[in-house]
Amino acid sequence: MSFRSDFVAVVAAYSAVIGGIALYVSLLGRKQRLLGEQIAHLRGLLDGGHGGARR
Amino acid sequence: MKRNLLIALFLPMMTWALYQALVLAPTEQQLGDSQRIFYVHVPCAWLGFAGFLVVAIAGGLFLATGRERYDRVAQAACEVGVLFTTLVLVTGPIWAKNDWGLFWTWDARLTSTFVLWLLYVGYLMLRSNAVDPVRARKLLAVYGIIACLNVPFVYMSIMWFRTQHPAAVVGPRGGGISPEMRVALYANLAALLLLFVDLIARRTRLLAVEDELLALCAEVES
Repeated sequence: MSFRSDFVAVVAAYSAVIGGIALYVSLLGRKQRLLGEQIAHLRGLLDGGHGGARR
Repeated sequence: MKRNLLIALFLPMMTWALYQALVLAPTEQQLGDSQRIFYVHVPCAWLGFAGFLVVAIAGGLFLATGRERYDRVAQAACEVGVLFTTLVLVTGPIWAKNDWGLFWTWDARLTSTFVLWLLYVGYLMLRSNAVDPVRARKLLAVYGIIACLNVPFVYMSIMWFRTQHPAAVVGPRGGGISPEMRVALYANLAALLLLFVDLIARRTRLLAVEDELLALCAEVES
């Protein structure tokens, strides 16, 4: 097998692993942020004021 | 700080593991440099299996105790298991195309891994579309235990059937690899294991926050 195709395969595989993990971590972070905003908003409503994050 | 300890350990560990795999490990004589994919492909497969094992154990504990925490752990482990198995199903064909000349063949190991992945994607889809979440939790706990029976089948498939997939090179029946290759393999396994535990812990906490949000919604409506 040529050096070129070996190199491309290794780069593609390692990029897929790092990219896949980074995508999942960023989705978790986004979800965490959204949940935090929604909880702050609801707590604001429960406290009778308009506190908390607005969407 | 405590919550970020695992990820703080993971980053230098993964850097060292990648250095071992891409630079220090010797080039395999027959397969060439593409064999370096092995150092992430195999740990991802083992961690995928581990994730599904956690789903079954947490599901069993949920059925036995009724504690919601175990159900959250099962869901988190399933997502992380699917993530790692997806990485196996992506890196495997890249390596296969280079060495076998084709991305995919329906042999026992590849097919059973794909079925395993489908079973747990199905688990996640059922959970997200459940009409009665309380009843679904119990049913999914049973589903997770039954689906886990496919894990030993996937693992043993290369011994039970003639497959295109290479035979095991580590473990009691393994063909053996050089000490430098072994270091690279276990370094990647250790780094990805830290990430695996961290991701399950983070996702479990996030699921608890989701439950808190549902409770708050109910409180606001009432």
